[in-house]
Amino acid sequence: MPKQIDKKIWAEQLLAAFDGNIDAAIDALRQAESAVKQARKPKVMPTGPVLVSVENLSKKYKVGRQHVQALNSVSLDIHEGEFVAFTGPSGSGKSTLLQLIGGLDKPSEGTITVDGKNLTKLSDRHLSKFRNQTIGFVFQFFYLQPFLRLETNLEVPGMFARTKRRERTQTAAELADAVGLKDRLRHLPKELSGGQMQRAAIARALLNRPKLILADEPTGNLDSTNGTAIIDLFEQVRKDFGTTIIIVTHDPKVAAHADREIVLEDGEIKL
Amino acid sequence: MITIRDTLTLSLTKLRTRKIRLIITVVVSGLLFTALIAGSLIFRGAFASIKSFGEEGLGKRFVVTGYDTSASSENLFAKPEILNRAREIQKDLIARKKAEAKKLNIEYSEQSEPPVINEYDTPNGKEQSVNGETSAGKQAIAEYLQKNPPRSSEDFKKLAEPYGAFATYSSRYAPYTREGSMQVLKDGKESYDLANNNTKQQYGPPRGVDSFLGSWSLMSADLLQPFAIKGQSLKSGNDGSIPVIIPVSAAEELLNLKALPGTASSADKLARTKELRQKATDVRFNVCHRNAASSALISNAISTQQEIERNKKNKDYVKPDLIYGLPKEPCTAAPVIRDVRSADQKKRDAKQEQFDQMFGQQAPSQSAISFRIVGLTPDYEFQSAIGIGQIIGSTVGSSIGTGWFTPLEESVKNPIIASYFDTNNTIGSGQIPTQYAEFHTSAQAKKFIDEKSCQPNYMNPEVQKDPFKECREKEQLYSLNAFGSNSLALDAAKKQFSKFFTIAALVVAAIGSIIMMGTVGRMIADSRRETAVFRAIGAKRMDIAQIYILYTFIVSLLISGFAVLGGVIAALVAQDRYADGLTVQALVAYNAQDLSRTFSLFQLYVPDILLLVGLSLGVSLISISIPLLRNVRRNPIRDMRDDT
Repeated sequence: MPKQIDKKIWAEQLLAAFDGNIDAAIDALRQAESAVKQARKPKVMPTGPVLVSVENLSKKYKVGRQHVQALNSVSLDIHEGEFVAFTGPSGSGKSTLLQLIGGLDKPSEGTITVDGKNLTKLSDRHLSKFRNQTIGFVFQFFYLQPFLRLETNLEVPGMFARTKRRERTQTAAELADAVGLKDRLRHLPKELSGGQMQRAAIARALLNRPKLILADEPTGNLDSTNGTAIIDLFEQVRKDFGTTIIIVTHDPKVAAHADREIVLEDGEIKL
Repeated sequence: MITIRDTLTLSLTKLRTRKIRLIITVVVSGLLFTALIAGSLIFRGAFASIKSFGEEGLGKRFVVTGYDTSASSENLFAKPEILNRAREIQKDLIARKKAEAKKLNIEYSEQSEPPVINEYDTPNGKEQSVNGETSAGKQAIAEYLQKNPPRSSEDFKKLAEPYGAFATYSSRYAPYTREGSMQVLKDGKESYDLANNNTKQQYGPPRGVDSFLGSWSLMSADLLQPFAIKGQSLKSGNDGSIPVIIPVSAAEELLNLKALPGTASSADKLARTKELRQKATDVRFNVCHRNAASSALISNAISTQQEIERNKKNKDYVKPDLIYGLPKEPCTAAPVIRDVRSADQKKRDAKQEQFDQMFGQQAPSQSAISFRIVGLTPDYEFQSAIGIGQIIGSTVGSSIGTGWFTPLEESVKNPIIASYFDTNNTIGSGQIPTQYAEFHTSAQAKKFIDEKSCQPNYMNPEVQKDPFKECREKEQLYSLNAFGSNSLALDAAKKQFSKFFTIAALVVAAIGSIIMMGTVGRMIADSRRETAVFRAIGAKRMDIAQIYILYTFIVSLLISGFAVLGGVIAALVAQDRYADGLTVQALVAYNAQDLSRTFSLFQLYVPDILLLVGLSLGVSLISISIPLLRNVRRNPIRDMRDDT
């Protein structure tokens, strides 16, 4: 398991290196980090068909009078059933990449193909349908509707999909059960803990059985226990539904759970 | 597109955000619409009631009143030719007086003559006007009017006949300036409080017998007939009494009935109306007319008495040689109570009298005119504030108006009244008779008004000096209006109300729109993050628009519901507060024989309500359009970023 490999390497490197010399310890840590990365790569090599294909993707923003190059000629493939983590410092372009894959924004250059659809060529209407049917979004701040009971909150993507009421109510109940919130269906979001709200958000993202879940800092607003539980839940979702998962995270421990970590820096993938 | 049910689920969540602001919006906008709905219910109810009551007045007749605008706007007093003629007459008069005084060997100074021309300052400089109280001034105006007579009843008839008028009538209001005095003799007694009487003559207190001079009109009997109490004739009686319709307060005073307090219940007022109709009918009373010389003797008698009283203890005081006393019998000549003049003095006084009479001064005369009560009119109410009751009340009172009415044809048979209302003796707007034309149908009357009524253009600065120029060019010489709460008058009132209602509705809509735009715009702005999340999970722009449009629709329904409820409550309150009083007022004003008729201030007029509800909805949708368009066009990412 990736978690065990990471811990072992880290522990070995640290113990071997630390003899009271701080500089040596820092070097050891850097080596450990590199070792971790190396250790990850061959973990589970993607074998399924490509779900997400990004080619020469660039994105420029205009902030005030200045142009910011958020992404610069990024190319990558993500396979079905893969669990990928985008990491990197703030402003490195990881969230931008996630949003472009999710069809929330248009690239300045390059193409994004998700589930065989070239997003750059889809109309706004079709992009909405694509987001509704193919993508499940999970946000750092959950974004549940505060005045709707949990059961209705989970059904919202089904409303936009015009799924029959009975069908989506049943699916919502099953998903609430799957994320451990069966007994909270009649509650309002304010009556739930942070961890419960994020689990609810994951259940909502799954309602239309998307092929891809895009999670932006899903543990960023949770304590470590709840954060771990959410990552475990993502693992479970992948296992149970075969959903491809892409998360953006700053947390190395979260990234360590992924099959693959893609590190971005200054809008480019760091090799 | 999401289903209506799901849209409703999501829209209702919006009602739970910013509750205080939403409540303020609903209440403020709702109150504005409440006023309009209440106005609609109340006025539509009032119109229906007036129509119902009018069936007993002039409601089934189509009468148009015409007032000669060009004559009324003409300032005779400042006309140069009249000014010049007055000067000439005055000059000649002084010369003749000087000669006659010399001949009679009496003293005469032209300084004793009142000025025939008055000069006064105006913003445009000094202006002159003829003194209409001087004999030279009167003569100059009379000569002018003889050469340029005002349009007559015949002229009006010729104008109205082509439109289908089958009868014409006229009325004359009591003149503003008059010679001598007229006084209603209450309990047959004459009051000698002349100073007070003169004031009354000038301004006319609005209630009781004192209102006589200020509100006395002569009107064609055909127009007055519907307002006579059942069975009463508008012909003069065998005793020569002139029929008169008088205000309720005057009837109460003449019958020595104590006026009901303002707080009296409607039942009491109704009972009083019945009582007055029974008791006042056929009651006779006299009005005393004294000419200027007779009034002057009464004044002289009073002032001499006062002078003697003041000098009671003054041993040096010498009483006048000739003293007049107050008459023992009402409306008789002032008696001489002391005359110790010498033979020479008497001779001089006789010469002076001869001189005065030679130059137009009349010998003292007084006589009583007998009137007979045949009907009642509501009293004129002074309004210190404008309220629903007052506005409707003034409409109700407009059946023939308030005041004293005597039939024109019978009145002018009386030489005193004829002289009193004589054009040559009555300078001012009172000299111009009001004309009336009666038509078979409302359409005929309306066409006559539409085509021949003068609408002076006061707004155009170019014609401000002569606002009637355009009217004269179009041969629109009269200001024409529907008269007597007939269906035409009612239509005109309804039209005016609809116009006012539409303008008020648009103003309210504009204000409501601004309020709504603030609230809905703020709510949409506050919901940007939520919109972004919905977009992220698959909502189309149309889905988002649908949610906010339904939200706005719900808000406008809340406003409409509040307004309808508020309007109904307000109308019912008005009904409770004013309807009974108006019922009594209308019973008198329309001389209703059926005393069970009631006046209502509540009638549901569905088009008005639909208009307002539609307007509320329209306003809401207009107010949401800009913020909504802005919102759905936004990039959801930016909104999510702004939040984090």
